[in-house]
Amino acid sequence: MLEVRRLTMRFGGLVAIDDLSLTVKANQFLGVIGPNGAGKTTLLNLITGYLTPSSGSITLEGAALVGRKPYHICRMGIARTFQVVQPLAEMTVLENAMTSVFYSGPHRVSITQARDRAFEALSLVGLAEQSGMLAGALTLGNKKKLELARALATRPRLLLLDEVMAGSPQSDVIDLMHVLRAIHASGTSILMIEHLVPVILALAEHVFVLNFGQELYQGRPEDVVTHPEVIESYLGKPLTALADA
Amino acid sequence: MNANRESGSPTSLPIALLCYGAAAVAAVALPLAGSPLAVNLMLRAGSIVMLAISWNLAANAGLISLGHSTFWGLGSYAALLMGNRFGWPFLPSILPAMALGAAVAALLAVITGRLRGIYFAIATLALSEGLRVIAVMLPDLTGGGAGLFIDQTLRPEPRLTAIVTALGAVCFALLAHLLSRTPFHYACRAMRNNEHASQMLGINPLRFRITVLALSGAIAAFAGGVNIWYGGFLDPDIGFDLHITILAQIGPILGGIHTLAGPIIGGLATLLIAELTRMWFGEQGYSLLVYGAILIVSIMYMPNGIYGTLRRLCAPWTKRRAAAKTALVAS
Repeated sequence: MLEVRRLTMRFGGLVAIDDLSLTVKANQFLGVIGPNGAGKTTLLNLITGYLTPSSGSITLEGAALVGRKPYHICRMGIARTFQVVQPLAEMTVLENAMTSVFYSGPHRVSITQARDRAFEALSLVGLAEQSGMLAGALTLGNKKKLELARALATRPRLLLLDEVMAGSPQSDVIDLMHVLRAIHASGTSILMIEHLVPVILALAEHVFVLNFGQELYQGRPEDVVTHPEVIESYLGKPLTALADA
Repeated sequence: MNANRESGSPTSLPIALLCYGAAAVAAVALPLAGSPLAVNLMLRAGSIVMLAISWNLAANAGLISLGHSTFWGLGSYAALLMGNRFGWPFLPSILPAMALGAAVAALLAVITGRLRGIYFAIATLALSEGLRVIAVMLPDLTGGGAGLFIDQTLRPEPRLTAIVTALGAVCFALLAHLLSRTPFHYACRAMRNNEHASQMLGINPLRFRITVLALSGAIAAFAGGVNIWYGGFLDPDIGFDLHITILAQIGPILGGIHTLAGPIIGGLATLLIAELTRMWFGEQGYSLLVYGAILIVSIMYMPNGIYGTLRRLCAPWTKRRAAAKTALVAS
């Protein structure tokens, strides 16, 4: 579905993404992990058109994404959440999600239809009760949920998640895991960046480890956590030891 | 449930339409029946309200203008020149005035690109000052610093200009009201809140910048175009007057920025304050001082404007009414 080929991104002398190739297959749940500064968010910014790569290509089902603007890429069926939450603070939670509905699809949507679809997305992530609140007044955990709801309200085929759970209370993490499983089951491909390794292990079918902008390792979740280089560069110690701690 | 004062207005559309209808009748009837003073007041009220609506539309999309005299002045010059050079009468001359205002505003949107906040504001200020200087430097076209009188044979009756101004204000208020019920309004507010993130919702910021500024420019140019037919004389200092720029933003800020009723209430309040201070303190000096003081105090103690304050004061009452309604439905 999504093909990243030999992608390089330089910021002056710093190489944030270094000759990276990565694939998200149709209906795959791909987890991306890696230490801080590995280039995970940069990768999302490149895919969604917020940054233009120094070289390399990105295609969605054969259509080139490089050079397109974020609003084009959104309309092509890719949605993302932001690691640093970006609520439309002076609009209500419902209006945030409604705005998502209006311009992300090929057809005109009436206010009533948008309200229904927005409410559906909010109910799914568990924000229905807060729908009348101003988005700026939400707690951080709820702002993260709003990020997810807004992404879902665009009805994406590929969902890019940037640490949508980090910082949320444990109960929310479990709820959100159920939500993501359901979204994936309904046919949406997902690329998920997450620092909560147990969440990635529980959800992802395939895990990609990024380090210094390059592929360190990729494979099945259970192989990734036992791979010595992954342990050294990212996990610090074997996950069993982490779980015990 | 709705905590937002920008939309979900408690007034239903039919009631609102009725209000606009009544205002339109008053806009025609008052100048027809009234004295020259009434004509003058209606013209100024209509102009202030149009400027306020125009400025507030751009502000809704996060575009704070410090140069609304640009569009006012362009509208004035376009209407005057259409009359003097081509013999166009009053009403037809307003159309090219609006077109010029919209075109320059759209150009401004493209040129300023992604400038926002104070940077955009400075660009608009520079534009209006630049146009003022250009108008001085083109005496063959604009009459230069000495100014130009509009062709007296073409001038309409003052009361017609007042009716057109007041009706224009009602129409543009209705337009803003109807726009607030469309996706366009959501896109503008999303841009104001976060232009960066709203792109990921499929919103092309440039498209909305151009549209909203062109609309804002056309409305202000309409007001400027009608006013030159009433006033009859134009020079660069009148056309691109900083006072117009200030007038355009005082209305929305005093009345309630980003709201529908705010610019209308604020515009009329501005006129009222100006008239009262002039009546009590005479033509010069003190009136402007009092005018300024009242504005500072009201901005300090009513950050949400008159409309916001009224809504806060009425809140217990509306809440009680809403609660009663819910109880009724539940029982």
